[in-house]
Amino acid sequence: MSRARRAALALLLAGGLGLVGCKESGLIAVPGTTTRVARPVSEKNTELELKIFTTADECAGSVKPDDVDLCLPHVDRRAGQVRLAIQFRLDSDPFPIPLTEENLRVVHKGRTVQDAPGMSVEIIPHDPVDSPQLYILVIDGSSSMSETGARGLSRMDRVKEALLTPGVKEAFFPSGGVRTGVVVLSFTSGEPEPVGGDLTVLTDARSYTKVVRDELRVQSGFTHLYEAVRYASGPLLQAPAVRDFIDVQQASPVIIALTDGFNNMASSDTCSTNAERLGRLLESLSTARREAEDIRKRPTVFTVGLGRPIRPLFELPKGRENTVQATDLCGRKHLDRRIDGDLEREGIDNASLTFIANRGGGFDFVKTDRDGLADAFRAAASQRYTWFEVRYQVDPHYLRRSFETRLRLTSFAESESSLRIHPSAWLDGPPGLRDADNRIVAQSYRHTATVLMPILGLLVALGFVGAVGFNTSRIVFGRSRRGSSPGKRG
Amino acid sequence: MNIFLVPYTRWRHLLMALWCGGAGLLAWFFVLSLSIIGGPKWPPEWDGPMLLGAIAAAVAGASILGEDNLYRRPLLKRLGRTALAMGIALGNTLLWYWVWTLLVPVLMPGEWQDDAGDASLVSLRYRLGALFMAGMSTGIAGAVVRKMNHAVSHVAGGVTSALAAGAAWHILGANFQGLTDLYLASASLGLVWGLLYGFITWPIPDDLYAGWIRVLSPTRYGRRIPIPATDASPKERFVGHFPRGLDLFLPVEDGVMEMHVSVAVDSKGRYSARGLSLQPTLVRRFLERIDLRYDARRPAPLETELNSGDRIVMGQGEHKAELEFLMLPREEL
Repeated sequence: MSRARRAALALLLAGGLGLVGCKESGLIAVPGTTTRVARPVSEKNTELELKIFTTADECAGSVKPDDVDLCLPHVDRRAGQVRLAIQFRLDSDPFPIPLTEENLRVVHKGRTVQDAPGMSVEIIPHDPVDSPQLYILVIDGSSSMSETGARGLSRMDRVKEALLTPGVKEAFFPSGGVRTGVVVLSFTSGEPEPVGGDLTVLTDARSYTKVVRDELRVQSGFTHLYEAVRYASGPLLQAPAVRDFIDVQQASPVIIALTDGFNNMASSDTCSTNAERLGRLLESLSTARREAEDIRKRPTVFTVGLGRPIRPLFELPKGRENTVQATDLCGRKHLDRRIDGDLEREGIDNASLTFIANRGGGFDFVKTDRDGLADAFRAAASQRYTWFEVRYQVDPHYLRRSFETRLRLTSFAESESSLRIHPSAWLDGPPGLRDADNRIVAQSYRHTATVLMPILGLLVALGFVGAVGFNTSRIVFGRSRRGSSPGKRG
Repeated sequence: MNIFLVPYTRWRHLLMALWCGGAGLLAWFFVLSLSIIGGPKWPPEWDGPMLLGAIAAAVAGASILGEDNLYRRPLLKRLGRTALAMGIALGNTLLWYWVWTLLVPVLMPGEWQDDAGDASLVSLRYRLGALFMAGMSTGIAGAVVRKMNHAVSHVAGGVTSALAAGAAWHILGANFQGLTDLYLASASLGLVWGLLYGFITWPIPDDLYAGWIRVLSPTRYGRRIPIPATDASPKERFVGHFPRGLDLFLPVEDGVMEMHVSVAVDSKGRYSARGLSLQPTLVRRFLERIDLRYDARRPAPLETELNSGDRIVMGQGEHKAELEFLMLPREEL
């Protein structure tokens, strides 16, 4: 048998063995990378589908052509960064939502990235859309709001200034032509009351300015915060004026509750007294959100605290998000302290605000000045986005074999998906570079030329070193030119 | 690879290393391009065989093609031998890779089996055997095409270069000292593999060159004659002022005697100069002077081995002639 035939036989045999050794993968190759991904698995029976883009075709159908590269999965092992693109869908249609790092739990190989030291998550929203929304402002009108600060402005004045900043007005009434409305409520004891007397939906910036500037003022009484939130997320939405606006405009209700203290219903209330009440409110919120006929009409609750947080290091108790225990709410230090005249002078109940916002699908903010409040209002009225880049940073060590990434929406709605990613065991594409925002930007495949060409050039140059050295030495030692003849010398 | 661009210096041995290193690097580029443009087109299990097979084939083929280019063999023969080397290297690599890959999970202890069978795991531990096999295949390909000439050095060189390349890949890509870059690591795999294989297995042989003597002195400057015979038999060339029958004539005015010096080559291709005259005859090289003046008391003339670049000075003072001994491509004969 000739050598050529033997070589061909070996190739055939090797190919056959390869087929035996190769498992049925069904993986999707990611263009521009050496990575493959499995088909994403969306959890069944969730309210929204969390779509993880894996192919160029999917991306081309959902994002702008310029963004297709950003839409594909990418693993940069040098930087330790994984990038995925996601979209929330309802009945197969995109469902734009506002999303931040706090609302999405990223789990890498069974470990929550946000909880791990040295790891981080960044959400980059894309393709903003102005969707119809009804903003329900629930403002604390209790007497403590009349306390003045360093500039001689009362707390209520700071709130009004914040609400009337151009940025906040633009957020509530965007100029894109999308119909939005604002309902302004003020609360002390009992149910909140519409500012200005009648319950009306303000649909333009001028009437909104007039109501906030002229009608929003401090009243007297206790601070029935929980009752105000319960009312705004339940009975208020059934009021004819509000319901009509929501139905006609297909608007999503967004409740923004502001307070400067604690929920306080009687002078004898202590912090621990609020635990049971807060539990009932959270249950009520869950019911209101769960029973909304359409997820678009589900109320979202944001909370804004004006003042210093009394528990600045507070975090929601893990595994007990559905129940409120007095120690979770107050800590051991403030458990039996009275609110009226005691706790409320030290700060605001940021723990309650976090519990409420978490259950309400929104965020909580604690601010002390006008600009901070304005930022919080703007964030609560933020735009919704069609799709998001999820970039998370882990130690490159954890990217050295195939891994599963699980994404779960922690507020707003139930939504969860996972994706198994298989980077190559042997080689990678060009590593990314950090841009001005310190984000990793994947480099083009053309970057390979910047490695290949200089090295090949160096090899070629070194190949001539021998010839150059040989000829140079001959020149230096005078062997390449004729010397003078003896006759001429003589 | 052109013998006319490769002077007979020690640097010439690096040339095959550079040539094969470039081939290894291009193999990496080829596999990376196939993988990146449109995404990998094969299952993860084939990443290793594709990369190792491509590098092994490219390096083995480059070695044979480089040799054939230097010998200026017919084009079809060059291509045929190159293709054969590449085929043998690729086939062997794939064959042994899969044998290794299928065997390893079985042979490993239970707790290692998952890792050993994970096609996505970046680890030198479970790839060492694959690199060894691929290196061996590179060497076998070279040895077979060169008709088992220096077979052991080919196989040992192939294995050594592949393992060294694996070490470079591991250091750059294995989170060593916080550095993880499988992009440059995989490039270094091809480069180091080729560089070492070219350097170790096939140094450019002396039989590609022939010795010449060339006149440096002004009279007859540049005149040169080859030393070896065309049939590679031992040969001796004579220099003197005797006007007929000598190989190189130099005038008596330059202090050259009738038959002053001879340069010989033996059957093993070794060159030497013999002093045949009582007049001064000096072989000069860096930090060395050898007087070959004929000693009448000795039965045989003095002789010394010649290396490329040595100078032979005949006569002295104003009456002297100078020759240089050069190794030039045999093609010029």
